[in-house]
Amino acid sequence: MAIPDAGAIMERFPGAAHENSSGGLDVIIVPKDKIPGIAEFLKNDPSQNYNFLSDITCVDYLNMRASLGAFYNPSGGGLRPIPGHPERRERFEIIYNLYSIPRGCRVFLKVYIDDKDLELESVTGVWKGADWFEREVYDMFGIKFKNHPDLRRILMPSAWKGHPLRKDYPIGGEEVVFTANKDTIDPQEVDIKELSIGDDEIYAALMLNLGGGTRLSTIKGDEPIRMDSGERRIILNLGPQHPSTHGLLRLVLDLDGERIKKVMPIIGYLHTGIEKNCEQLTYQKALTLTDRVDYLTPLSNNLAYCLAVEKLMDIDIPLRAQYARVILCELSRIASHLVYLAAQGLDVGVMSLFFYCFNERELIQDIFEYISGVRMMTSYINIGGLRYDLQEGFKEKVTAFIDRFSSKIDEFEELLTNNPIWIKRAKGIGMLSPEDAINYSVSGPSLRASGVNWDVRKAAPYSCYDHFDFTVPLGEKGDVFDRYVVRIEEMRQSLSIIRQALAALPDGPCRSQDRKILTPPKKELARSMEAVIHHFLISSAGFPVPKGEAYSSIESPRGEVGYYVVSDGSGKPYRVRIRGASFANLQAISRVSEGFMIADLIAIIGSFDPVLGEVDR
Amino acid sequence: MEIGLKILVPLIEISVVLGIVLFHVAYITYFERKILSHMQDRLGPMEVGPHGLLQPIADGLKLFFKEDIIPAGADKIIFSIAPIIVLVPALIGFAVIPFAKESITIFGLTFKPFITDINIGILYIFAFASIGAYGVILGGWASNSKYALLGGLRAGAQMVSYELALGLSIIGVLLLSQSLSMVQIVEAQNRIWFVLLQPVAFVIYVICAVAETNRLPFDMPEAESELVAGFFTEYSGMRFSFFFLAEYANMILVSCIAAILFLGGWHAPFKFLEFIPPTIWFILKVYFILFFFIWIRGTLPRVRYDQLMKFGWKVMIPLSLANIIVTSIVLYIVRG
Repeated sequence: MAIPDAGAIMERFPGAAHENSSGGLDVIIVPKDKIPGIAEFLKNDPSQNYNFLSDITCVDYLNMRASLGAFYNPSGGGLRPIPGHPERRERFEIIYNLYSIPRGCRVFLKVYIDDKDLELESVTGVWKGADWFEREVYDMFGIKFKNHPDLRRILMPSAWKGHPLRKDYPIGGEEVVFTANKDTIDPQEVDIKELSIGDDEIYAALMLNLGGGTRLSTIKGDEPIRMDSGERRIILNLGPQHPSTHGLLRLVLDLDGERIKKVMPIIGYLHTGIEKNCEQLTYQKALTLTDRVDYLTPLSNNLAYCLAVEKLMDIDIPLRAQYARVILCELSRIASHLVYLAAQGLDVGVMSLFFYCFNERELIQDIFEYISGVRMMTSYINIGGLRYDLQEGFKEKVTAFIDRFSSKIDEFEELLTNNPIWIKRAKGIGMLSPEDAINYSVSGPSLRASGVNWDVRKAAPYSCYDHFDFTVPLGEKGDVFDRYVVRIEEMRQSLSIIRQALAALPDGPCRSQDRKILTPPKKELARSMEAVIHHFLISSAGFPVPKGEAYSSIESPRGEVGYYVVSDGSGKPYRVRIRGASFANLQAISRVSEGFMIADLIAIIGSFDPVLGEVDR
Repeated sequence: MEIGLKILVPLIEISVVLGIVLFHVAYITYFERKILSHMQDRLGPMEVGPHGLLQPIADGLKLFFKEDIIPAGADKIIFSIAPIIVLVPALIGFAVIPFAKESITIFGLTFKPFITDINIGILYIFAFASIGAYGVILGGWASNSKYALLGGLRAGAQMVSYELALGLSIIGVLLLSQSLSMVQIVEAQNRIWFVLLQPVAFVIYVICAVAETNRLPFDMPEAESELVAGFFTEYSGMRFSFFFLAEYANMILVSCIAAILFLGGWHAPFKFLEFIPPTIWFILKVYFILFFFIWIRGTLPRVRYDQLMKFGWKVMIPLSLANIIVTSIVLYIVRG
């Protein structure tokens, strides 16, 4: 599949080149200085219309070049050219992942960047959502984006040394700066210019509270910054330990009375380096980390990762596994939306709803436990299908649950939908216009509540979603109420999908019979030496995955979750990039909550349903 | 001897009433947890004693032995007395609550079923109840925490505005009973309860009472999802439990007032039910209202702070004023 008008791009921007990568990606290689221009063109030109910036990420090709016979020369000259790719000497590859919602197609822009000149023009002027993506690339790879409004570290502490996702970053032995030990660790000098942000007052307040080894004195000599601006306002620090920030989210609020003038989200408190960890593990073991990305719907993340690896390996998945994947993902969508509903209820004070929702979620967890032995981090969806076949009685259990839940959902709705207090709390609060939603890279129910019809399940069906009949509920105003209604309706649609998939669930194997990825059956191990060797290799070195790169995205309960996997041909992924839906969605919070009250902000955070594991990874 | 008895009897009365009130305060927390739990498909406290019956005692002991933390930046004196300013007015109101009609004679001593019956009983309660708001504001201010401050300010504004409507709502009852004495108000409901004559006032009273006691859906000052714990965010140990006790004592107090003003106090609803002692009737009525408080906590979402203020000033106060006018006109016509 080639993008229809790659020719137009190359004609307009000489130096750009089209390339079909091995994983089936449409790639346009863009000269470094052309990136803002080409971004502008791709977004605004009616024939292109790539209005949605899905992701920006980076790959450090240091080791891959080395393994291919090229080596890195620190004294200059960059990398030796790769055999077969004489033009590629650069170490870093920035990848812009663009999607056109109206046209339903995806394109990847690649920019090669050399070690010596790590500067690149920012595209925040084209897509607002680029802000955090670029900050993450800066944080993890040290690539500086010119004209970025607020280029600071985003996931790592501000005083962190080095850029963790670089291949030459030493692993292990880092001394992590906490409030408790910050005095024993030599505070590193923080570059003021790097840290400076627009609003001085918030900046000062931020620095005053910042534990991570950053001293106030490092900002302006030893003079603490005073916050007399003459205005009467409160800087309130909300989180990371706060009952309703849905995890370790921290917001610094600039308040006028109880009215919000500015919100500054600070994230990274739950950063566990999942992307880096994936690089150290075999493909099979890395799967278990994807469970931990979004702990409310681990199965969706399993699926997204497996789809990417399967694309690289070109494995056929049996139909039974495909259908089972759909059932499981929809079950976890319901489970996740139930937690949303519970938390949203709790945010506005309906404590009972919280318990009702968790009761139902418990039943879904029971089903997961029944089939996989694990309640949450199941890793049940596996490369090639499912880990093992569905247990006997799975169908009956799921049927019993959906029969029960169809009436429960009406009960839940009764508690809120027509409740005048809830309507007053939710209607007209935190409105997100469709333009803004797209511009901020918001996806999932939060995007559809604004009336934008984009659901990956419909737009680019994966895992046989096109076999099922369902509608995509849309909102109108994009306020807290619409986001609530859309999610309630999505649960109903999920029930319908599960019902259809259960009825049509075919018999047969639940995992691809490809012996490349499967360990040999037990009985062979006793007789065949080759089987023992194969077993040993798969368990220790992992099965090799052909060289290349692949991207797969799915519709998780929170939006587009994408996995960009780069393979160097070995048994371990060279790079796994996780596009977390909450990460992008969370950016919009500061946009929508300005001018509302604290109580509204709490409802707004809840309505975006962020999972901080997915934000921080 | 005479003087000794005159002092002894009220002292015994006071300690009995205080003891009973504090016992109920402790156990209303238990009932709240139990009722909420069962509304929410769970069991609630089950570990301490049979069905968790001793839980309030365990909680009390725990709070008593907890470390008492005063934040470094807090105003120590005000921080320490604020819980007392909240708790004392909540308890002092019980002095004029009549629990029954007849006095009891034990060992030749006559005990009244109330501590005292002053002729401005209801005014006395309201006057003291307003003082509680000071404690809340001071506690919020003295903590030197932004959350506590916001909670304290919310509480101040909320209590002042809802006290107005609360005070206005009972004037209809006072017009009917022609007295401010609690005992006489109850006796005036000998034939018909005021809730039937003053239904609007009753509704306004109950809504305002919920707001006055800072409970859901009007628990702005301590909205835990927004302000962590509102004005007592920084409090711990005994001081925290003072706020806690005060909240529940206030709940019982406003329920007692509702029972007395609107539900006929100790009167049985029907003649043939009069064999049940009046005190039991009174307690039943109080617990009915308390149950209602807990029930709405289990059902309704929290309103927003500005919506609450709008509701208070633009709906509750005009309504209660209208109620007074209508009652006055009707009474004027009926009584001539």
